[in-house]
Amino acid sequence: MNKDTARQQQFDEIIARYHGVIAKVCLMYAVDNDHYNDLYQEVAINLWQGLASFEGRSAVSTWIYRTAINSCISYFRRYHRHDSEMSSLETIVDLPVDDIDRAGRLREMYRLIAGLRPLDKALIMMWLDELSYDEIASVTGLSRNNVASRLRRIKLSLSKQAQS
Amino acid sequence: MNIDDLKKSWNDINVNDDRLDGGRRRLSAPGSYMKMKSSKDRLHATLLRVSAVCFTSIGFVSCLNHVGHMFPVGMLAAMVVYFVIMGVLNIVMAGRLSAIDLASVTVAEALRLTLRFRVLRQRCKIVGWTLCVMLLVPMFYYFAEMDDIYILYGAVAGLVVGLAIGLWIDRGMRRLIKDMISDLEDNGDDE
Repeated sequence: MNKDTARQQQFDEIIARYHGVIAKVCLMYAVDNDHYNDLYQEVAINLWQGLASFEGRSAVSTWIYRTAINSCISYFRRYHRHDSEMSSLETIVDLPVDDIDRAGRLREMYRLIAGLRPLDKALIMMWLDELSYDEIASVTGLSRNNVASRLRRIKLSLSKQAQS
Repeated sequence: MNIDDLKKSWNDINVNDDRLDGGRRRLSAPGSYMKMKSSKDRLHATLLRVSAVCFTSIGFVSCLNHVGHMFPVGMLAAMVVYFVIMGVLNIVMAGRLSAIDLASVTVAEALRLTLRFRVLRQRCKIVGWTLCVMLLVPMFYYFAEMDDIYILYGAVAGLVVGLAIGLWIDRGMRRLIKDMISDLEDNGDDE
């Protein structure tokens, strides 16, 4: 197997394995459906281009998160909305059908997180995906203490907004 | 709403983007991602193209003037300076953009570099439009065969109007970016 084929295979495996992570990140930064598809493509291209220089010094998941978030926050194109709105959450994700209350709270949480600033959005998303403070610090480049205090502030603010 | 309680629910949900025509579907053709260009690559190529057009225009304007003697020397020199400035600015922007490696820098760094690039781009636009107005207004007077003094008035008026508009646009952008950079530099002292 030559080097290019091996790289392609590795890339396909990464996309298949981390599709959920990439999709969730794009979903959080997208303003509508077309934007979501553009962001997904952007992340994939940047992952492909970065794969050659990825030396495995960090975990693959950390690298995926970093590249995906960086691609979304720095999308170098002026985006014009095509649809009026992003599809509602239930059309994209499988919400719990047996627990309407929980589905409602998830929907509300998604709406509130979507309104956060780019870095705060990245922090809360990784925290929700159960990354440790050290992993979040490594992806974002913030100190562990800074991550902890920012997350506490964001959670407090989200809870307040949800109550009001 | 207790966010800690919702954490597990969040992890249990699956994104099914086939319903959005699937971002992944665009990559379904074998090796399609190898041929695709990122928004950064496309912008980089555009900046270099604009720069090439600017430098080519210097030769074009000089040749045109050599043949037809369309412009006075002062105006020709101003046009050459304009195209040189714009050509160099576009090369500087392309260089700054290519230095952003999204796959290796941290999120805070990517955000900082992106914001700085946007500031630079905005300022280059302001410089470009101001110089352009400065050049076009006297050109208009020249072609209307007005007195020489009006060319000077036109250039000054162009400079003032162009700068005023540019600085007004820049003010809002600067405030937004200042907020975002100060947020990035917040070290979380309350911990």
